[in-house]
Amino acid sequence: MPESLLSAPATGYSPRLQMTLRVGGRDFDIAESGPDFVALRDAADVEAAEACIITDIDGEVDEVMVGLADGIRADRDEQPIIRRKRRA
Amino acid sequence: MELPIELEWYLVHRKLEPVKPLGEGKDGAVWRHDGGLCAKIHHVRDVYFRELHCYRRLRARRIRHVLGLRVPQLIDHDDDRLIIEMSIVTPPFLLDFASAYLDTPPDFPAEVLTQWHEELEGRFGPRYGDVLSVLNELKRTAGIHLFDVHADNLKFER
Repeated sequence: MPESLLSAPATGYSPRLQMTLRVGGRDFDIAESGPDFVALRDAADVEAAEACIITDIDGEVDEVMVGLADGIRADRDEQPIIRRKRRA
Repeated sequence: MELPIELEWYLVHRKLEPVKPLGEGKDGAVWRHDGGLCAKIHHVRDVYFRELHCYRRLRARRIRHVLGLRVPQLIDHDDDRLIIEMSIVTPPFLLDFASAYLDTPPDFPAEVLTQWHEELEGRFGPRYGDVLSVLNELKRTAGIHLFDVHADNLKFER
């Protein structure tokens, strides 16, 4: 039997991660990023548009252009996206 | 952090590029790739399958969050290279099932469980009750018994 069911407090690497979807001057907090969708915490209706996913990992930021072919719908958990290219 | 060669092989064969490490711990390393996902490579085969079975269970039962904590979705995996590819979640989240038990946990002695509760309370302080609620909900809905929780795999705050 193990001495403890808990592993030692983290000694590895676990960066602070924040993801944002920016569209038309509005920022939405991303809860989950999938291959062809993002889930937003507080979604609001937005028409089809080009958008940008901003990822901040320990202060290091990159951006990925995405298309919102079906816009954003507040009543939908997953918002479909078309990934375009990454900007360092 | 250096990209493990097996993970590089996995990504190259899927025409993906590693972007940045998202974590490293006792069970393996996690890298984000340019397909918008992350891939976790495991050190030990048994641990890999333990975690894979948990993610399969979550997917089969369509469990996307546990009491408001987002859980990653299984996207793909490689049994030879011990790699699980999954969606990326941001806090609040619950992840890392490498040390979880599916359906039937070992019959831990009472003193081990008592110590676990004490250590858990020490680790999470006023959120101890919330942690127990999350773990009980995970057990009830997914049959996943998770004991090894810490601030990096169970996060309430953004």
